[in-house]
Amino acid sequence: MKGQTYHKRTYGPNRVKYPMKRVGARGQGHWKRISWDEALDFVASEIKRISAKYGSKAVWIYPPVPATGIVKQGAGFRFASVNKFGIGTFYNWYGDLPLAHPITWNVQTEEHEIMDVQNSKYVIMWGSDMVQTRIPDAHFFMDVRAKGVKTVYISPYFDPTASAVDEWVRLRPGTDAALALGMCHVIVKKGMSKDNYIKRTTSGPLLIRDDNGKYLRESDLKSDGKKKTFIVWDPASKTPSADKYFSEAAALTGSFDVTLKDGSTISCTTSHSLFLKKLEEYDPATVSQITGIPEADIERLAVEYASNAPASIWSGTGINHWYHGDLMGRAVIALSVLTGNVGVNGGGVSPWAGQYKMRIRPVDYFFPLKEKGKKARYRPVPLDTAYVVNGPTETMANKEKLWRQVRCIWAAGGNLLGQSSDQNTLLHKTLPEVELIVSPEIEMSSNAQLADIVLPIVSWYELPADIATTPAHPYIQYVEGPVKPLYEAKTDLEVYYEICKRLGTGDIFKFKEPEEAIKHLLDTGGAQVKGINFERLKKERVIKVNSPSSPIAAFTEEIKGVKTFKTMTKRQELYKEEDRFIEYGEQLPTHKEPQTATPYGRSMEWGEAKKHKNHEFEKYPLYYLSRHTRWSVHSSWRTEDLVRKLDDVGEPLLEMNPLDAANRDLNAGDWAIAYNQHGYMKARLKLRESVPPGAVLIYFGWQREQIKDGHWNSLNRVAINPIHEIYFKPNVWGPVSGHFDELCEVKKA
Amino acid sequence: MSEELWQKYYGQPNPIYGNKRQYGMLLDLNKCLGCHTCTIACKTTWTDGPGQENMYWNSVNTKPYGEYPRQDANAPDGLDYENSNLYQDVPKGVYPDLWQFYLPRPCNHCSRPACLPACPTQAIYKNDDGIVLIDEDLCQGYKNCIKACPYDKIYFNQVTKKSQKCIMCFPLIEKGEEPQCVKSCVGKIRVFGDLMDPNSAISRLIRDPSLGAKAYDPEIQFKAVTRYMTDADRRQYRADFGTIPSLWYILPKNVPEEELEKYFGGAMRGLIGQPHTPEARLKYKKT
Repeated sequence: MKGQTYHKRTYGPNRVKYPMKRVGARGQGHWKRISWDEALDFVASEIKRISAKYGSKAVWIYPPVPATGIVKQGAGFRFASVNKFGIGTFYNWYGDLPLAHPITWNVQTEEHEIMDVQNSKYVIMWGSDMVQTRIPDAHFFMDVRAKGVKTVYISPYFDPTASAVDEWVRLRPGTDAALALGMCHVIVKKGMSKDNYIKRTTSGPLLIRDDNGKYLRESDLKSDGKKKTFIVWDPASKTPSADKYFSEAAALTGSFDVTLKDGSTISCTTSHSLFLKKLEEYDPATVSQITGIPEADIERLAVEYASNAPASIWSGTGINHWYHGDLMGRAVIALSVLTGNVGVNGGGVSPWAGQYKMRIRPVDYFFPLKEKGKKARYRPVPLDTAYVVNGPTETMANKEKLWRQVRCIWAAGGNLLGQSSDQNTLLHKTLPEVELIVSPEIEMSSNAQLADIVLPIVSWYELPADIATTPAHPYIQYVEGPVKPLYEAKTDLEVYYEICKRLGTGDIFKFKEPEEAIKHLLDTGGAQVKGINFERLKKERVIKVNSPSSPIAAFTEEIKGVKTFKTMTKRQELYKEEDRFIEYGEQLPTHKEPQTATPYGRSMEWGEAKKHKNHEFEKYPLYYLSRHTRWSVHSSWRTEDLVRKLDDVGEPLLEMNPLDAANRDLNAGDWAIAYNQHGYMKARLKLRESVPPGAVLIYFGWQREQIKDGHWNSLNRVAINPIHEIYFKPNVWGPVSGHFDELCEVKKA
Repeated sequence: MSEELWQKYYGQPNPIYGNKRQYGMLLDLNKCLGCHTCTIACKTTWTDGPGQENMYWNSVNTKPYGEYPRQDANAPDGLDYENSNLYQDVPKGVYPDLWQFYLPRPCNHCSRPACLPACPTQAIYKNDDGIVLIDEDLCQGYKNCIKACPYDKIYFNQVTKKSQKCIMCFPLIEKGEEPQCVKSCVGKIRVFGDLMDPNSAISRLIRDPSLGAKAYDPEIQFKAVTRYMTDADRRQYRADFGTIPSLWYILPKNVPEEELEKYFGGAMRGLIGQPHTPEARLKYKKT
């Protein structure tokens, strides 16, 4: 729908037509047209000045999701690499990274391609409003329902998807982990768990030391034992023995006395036994108390899910944009693991949010080799976007090496300054420290309006060539715009090249023409694109990449025993032993009350939480949810009139339940303010029953000039969960935005 | 729809207008995403000109509250065309007992169109494919058709002073293609074809609801292997107006039956005892 209006944006009044330099204060809207040479010279000289004063890593590139145009967007990585600039993160910063995946499987994310839902006998959409937010793929879910497969939607909101499924399951916001664990409880009690599968492929049979909560290792038992060999209990010989992946010989449950190498004896318990013990806390009656779902429904859902194999779960940002989103994700994965659904076509947990997946190995393009044949590469110095906006935390990983105040922001698309959480900190604390903001843009976005220099970039219709991939399907696509660059627009690639030339790194950056970059990407792209060359791609346009399963499903080889998992234990790790997991009591999936959005004890497990009150909740008793709409891709298309006019009254609206409005003496159409201690947003009110009592919803993406006052993201702050900081691997393990975990109050404006 | 009913509606050439084909559509409302891709495909193709700013030949509304155009005594001709998608996603009921459904509506290209005989200058005609068209050279802007159409699917262009309406993309049909709203449908909810052809996919799917819920069958001419249609009643929207619409809908399963009756004339099961005929006196919905 949105793509059909792209011509309006290409030729629209909002285009950036030529390079512009700010005159007057930032954000005032006064610009001076300059030539490309002036612009490039100015930016290069400023970067040189900042690099000399603060070091090159104080220049920080904010890259948009590379898979959308691997040449165009990926060039930002290359640009940062060859100049040793800083680089930000996107996937975890947006809140799209399901941290439960690296935690359980040590992968960034592995999902089934959407078409695989056809192989399912039972389908749960868990906090994923497919109908509204995955428009191109939603029909697969509607089709599978038309065929007679039961589809379930889990969400507190009566979203468009809720009216397009067989069953809508409502729960208190932020209690999804409790529901998943409650279903696990029922499945275990009814003897429906797949114990052999658990024994073969998960951390279930591994022994955990009762004294320190760590995995028992061979090195604990023998002085020549290996640290990376884990121990199971062999019931035949009644001795501890080295774990063999895929073996069914080990004991899955039980506690055993084990003699260590120093002669002392300790008690160890299988991690599955520990999990079963944890599950005792999640009986249907308790889960019903936590979630508000009737006990009978919890039992029925569990039985339905466990008895219709394969059963798939499609999880979305609804259970990921939370401070404890990793726990929700881990609980949902545990449900899929217990029933043997992981690794099976038609099963699995597929958390697609964001177009992050590159079905090509981009390393040689992003981080070029210093010398052919040698291993050394040019690399940027990463700094998570969350810290750039928020400042560092006490618990930040590798803080001494990585933290520095950023002095130049090159926001390469993504509308960073318009879409970022915690707008007040960003505008009033962070940006004043930044001496140069460069905004290469197609349109005059909120980001461009706050920049010091704006560079005109070609629209997608003018892009000479690029390649795109997605988690949704297994194809690599050739992208070629139909028109020549308009106005004075240049490609991102050329702009980077020209700056590099001025910084003396042009020869290393090398690419000015996208075709050359595509050839390089395909040549070095690895097994997935083996056999696909530029000529073939240009001719065929869309080519299926090589993959071990079709439709693509995650971990099909691992659960057949052909491969092991990439984790430390080579198994699916429901149990985690890192110190911080132990410190926070999160070795196993559990439900913790939301960090902010709860009436009970914050971040506490239920037994404790129910005894406490959240005092913030008394001041701000409404859940605040700013989220995707069908009418925009984040902030893209929000200013396109054809689309905007179809979005109700075509302006930002605060949406709430009529009951809450009546309690505050508010009527539909009133100007109202949603506020909390962090910020506020002023907009007119829309009342509808789809929003549960006790919540406020705003469909986001509006550009700053479209908002009457405040900002929808000024109510969200960047709250960083220390679990997310155990490691820092850009876009794989880092602070995941939890911006659904927020409260507010609403009053008449 | 029973075989008997199909025979009655489509088993012979149109008794009044003589067309031997009647193009129509079948839309599965269980699958509609409310994404408006049809609306925009139509709009950017046909109604992107002056005087057409609020004109949507194809509209999609969230029922029960969404309506386009809306009745408004203060608006010109009593119809308000602004904010065509007002009340989007506003369900009926009290949380959590709620229902809503999306209703996509182009012109119905009725077998007995109410607009056609209402035109004093005989500018409206039904072509060989059963498509209802306005000859803009003959239209003198009397707007009687707008008053006559019970579906409010004829629009008056204030700039050209002519009535305009959905033309079922007949230039595309003549090229062997499907209309824009069908081609572009992301949810794949629309089946297009000749209702009078007993072997067309559409007429078979309407007569036998079980057919669409089966796996890909080349005989049904489904265009994607993953495509299914819900096994539920096929009805026309407001068949009680008596114009025999050529748009058929597969009823949404999540809407209470008594509510569906209001929209899809459940009591009549799609069967019209006495279709409106041009000989009878016109019943204007508004005076």
